[in-house]
Amino acid sequence: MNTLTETVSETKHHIPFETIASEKLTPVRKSAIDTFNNIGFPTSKDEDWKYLDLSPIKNTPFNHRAAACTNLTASEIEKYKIAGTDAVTLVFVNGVYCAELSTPHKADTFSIEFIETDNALQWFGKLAATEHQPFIALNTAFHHEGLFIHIKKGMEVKQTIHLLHLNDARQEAVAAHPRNLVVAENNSKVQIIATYHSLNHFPSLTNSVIEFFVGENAFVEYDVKQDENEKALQINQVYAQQKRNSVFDISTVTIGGKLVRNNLHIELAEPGCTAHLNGLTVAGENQTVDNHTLVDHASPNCESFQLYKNILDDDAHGVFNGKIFVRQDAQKTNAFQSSKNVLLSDNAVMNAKPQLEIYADDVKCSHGATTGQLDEEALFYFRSRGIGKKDALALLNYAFAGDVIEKINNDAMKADLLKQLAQKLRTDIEFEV
Amino acid sequence: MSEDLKIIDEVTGSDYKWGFVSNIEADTAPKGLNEDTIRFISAKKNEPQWMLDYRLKAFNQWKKMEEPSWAHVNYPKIDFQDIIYYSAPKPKKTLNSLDELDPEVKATFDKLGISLEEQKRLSGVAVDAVIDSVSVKTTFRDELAKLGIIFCSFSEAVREHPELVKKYMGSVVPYTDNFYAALNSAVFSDGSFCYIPKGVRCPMELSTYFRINSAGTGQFERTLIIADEGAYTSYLEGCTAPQRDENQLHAAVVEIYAHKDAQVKYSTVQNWYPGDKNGKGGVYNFVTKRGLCAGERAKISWTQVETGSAITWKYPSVILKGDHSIGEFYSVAVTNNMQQADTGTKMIHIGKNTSSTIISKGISGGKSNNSYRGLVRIGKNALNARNFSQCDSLLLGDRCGAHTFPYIECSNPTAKVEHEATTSKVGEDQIFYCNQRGISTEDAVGLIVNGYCKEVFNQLPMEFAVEAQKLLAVSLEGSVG
Repeated sequence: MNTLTETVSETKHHIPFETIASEKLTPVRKSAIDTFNNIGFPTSKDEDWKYLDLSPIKNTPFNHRAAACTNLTASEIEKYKIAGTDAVTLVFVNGVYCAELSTPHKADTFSIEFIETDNALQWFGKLAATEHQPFIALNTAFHHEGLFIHIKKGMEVKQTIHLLHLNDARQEAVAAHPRNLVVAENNSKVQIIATYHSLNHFPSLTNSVIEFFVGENAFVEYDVKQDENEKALQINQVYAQQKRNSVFDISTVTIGGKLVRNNLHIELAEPGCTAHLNGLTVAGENQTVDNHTLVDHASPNCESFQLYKNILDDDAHGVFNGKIFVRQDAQKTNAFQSSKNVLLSDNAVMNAKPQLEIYADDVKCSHGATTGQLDEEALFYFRSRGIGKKDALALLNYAFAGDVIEKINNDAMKADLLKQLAQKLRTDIEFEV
Repeated sequence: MSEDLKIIDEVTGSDYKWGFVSNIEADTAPKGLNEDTIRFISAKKNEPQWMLDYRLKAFNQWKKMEEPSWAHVNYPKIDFQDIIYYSAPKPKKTLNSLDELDPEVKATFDKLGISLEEQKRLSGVAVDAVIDSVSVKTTFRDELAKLGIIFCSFSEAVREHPELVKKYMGSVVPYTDNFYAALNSAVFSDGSFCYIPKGVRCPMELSTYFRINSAGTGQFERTLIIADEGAYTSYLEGCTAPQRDENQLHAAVVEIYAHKDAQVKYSTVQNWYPGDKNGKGGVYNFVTKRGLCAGERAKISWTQVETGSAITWKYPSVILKGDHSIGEFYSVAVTNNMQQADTGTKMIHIGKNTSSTIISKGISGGKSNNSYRGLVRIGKNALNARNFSQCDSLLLGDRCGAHTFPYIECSNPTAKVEHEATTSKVGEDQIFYCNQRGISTEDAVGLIVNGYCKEVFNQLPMEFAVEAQKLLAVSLEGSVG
């Protein structure tokens, strides 16, 4: 089989999309392929991809149209569901929506349909432009049966909507291109969670794109858990555009995956918006986790808060590249960014690049970045009370990371993450924190 | 434009008024850059073969390199073949006394608090016998020579101390380093050379001012400072007086080599012609400055006050190779009107127990853009490395930009790296407080900005600090309101 670049060049001559999707998107797909052929994969010379080695993605011969649903059963999916929710679970296998495994969803507050419908197409690709973005171009070319989630005006969605992504790479190397679109109309409220999992004998790639349109006074929370295994690669792109007085909160918790790249692009398009971006990475072995954020303050009187933490063990490599961009007319902006990182081993590497690009004068913007070890004194305090070094470190790490998870409003997601965090840090916490 | 800016403009444009002796054709290399130009420069300077070979090697390297484009600055593409790479120093027309000086120019000098003698020197007044600058210089030189300190022009060093130049030149900034360093290595005109022998503490601030032949070092300056074991020196570059320069492109290289226990303090005040308020003209200042703490407990400290130049592209760096070595960077960068600055530092921690401090203050006014770009790299073996960075930006208008691009690369778990940055404007309550006490808004801003930069000014040698404060006030005039 061929590498990704070769596959794309071949596809140029023979586009089989008619067989897999509606034809409405065919021209868009074709032009996305042209774009990809023109720009190709980024290299380490690209400032935005400087610290990331993409060769595992470039050199693996992935199948881009792996069977949807495969032969997975509902019971195999069950363990990925977040316990204790009556969530609307939407299952995507290899990037394709799988109705058999998903919860039936009928509600007055929102509607779900395929992204190829006319309703969705008026929004599709408006934020995630393919120019200069090879992975978005790939996704635009290859995505299949993604969903359009439409939250109706003034409605609060009581159930959590859970986007459950599972890559099945047990038979062959698989590339999935999940593509979803969320439109929250004015005065609506919704909590969406996304979890990423994989079954690997072969490598898998998740190249996901999701676009959010947050209407006036709307509240949207999007919590992501990346828990794929050690053969899985992931490029995750989240775009959001906020209208007047809206709130958009996103938390990205990365626990698994060999190589994970998150690109967040939040546009505060109208005055009075608030955005929270939280990120937590707990990585070990030879994991690489690269978090990029861009908060675009395009309007006055908006606020944004970013908190990113990394705990890196073994040979893990963490990257944080966050940018606060304040446009000329975005006066009275408050924008804050903090990146805190702990290195636990001699071989762990952290690269942080917190950036401010500011063109307005009446602003309050700051960023901070620290990299180091856990507080010696706190460690000593534990040990003086008879708690061993290993346990003390685990507890301190748990508290350090818990800071980010505490910011998640979705209780089920929060509980699930805290539990998993405790496991990952090899600490057994039996009390409520 | 305020009255004061006009004055500065006139001062900076003053070269035309006073003029140069124009008969220089014979000493000027033809436009363009090729091997012949380099041979011409080398021959003009009576350089030995090895120096020429070095230049040619650098030139061949330069041809293979591409002009960097990552900096946050905009300028039309430079045509490197449209530049004259060598012209002999031009003697200035002398005046008979300060009375002949344009009163407005004199007013600016007074504002900056430049001493009478220096005013004379700057404006090209023939200095009288009592304060014969040449004899002053010679006295200094004798005193330095007694201690074994070598302080001379680079060309002189190439001729008289080839073994030192051969050993250290390019050891910190190799000609392969970057586009402009390669260009400089190929065509450098002149510069300073300084060697402090073992255990010697240099008794005075070394400054280009005291060096014979300091005039007209040209646009491709090269400085090499070597501090041997346990030596100490403080070096001053530039001066606060506005300088008009007909060379648009400046690509200097400064190398500092600090041996075990040596300390070097390098202070710069740069106030080159920043162009007019529409961004026409002005100097492009693309400089490579780097110090190497080669031995244990070596210390290199950079202090810079950058107010001039249309475009500044400058990252004084320290490589902390020796264990327990220390790197410091203190910077005030002011941009006004259409100026663009992309400046910062690099601290490369290699040795154990190394520490570095970065204090950067950016001030932007008018339509200018001011970026801090800095790298802190903690190598794998840099046990217990420590870094503290603070980058503050102050915005004095709603059409200017302030940006921060720090790169923090940490590969050692025992390292402690902290970075913080803020961007804000001058507080209205602070201005109101001053107004209420009868201080005009313009003065208040000057006061507040000076307070804001104090941390950096404190690092400057005394006489520099006083001038720098005034320079800051003058640079910012007209940017408020």
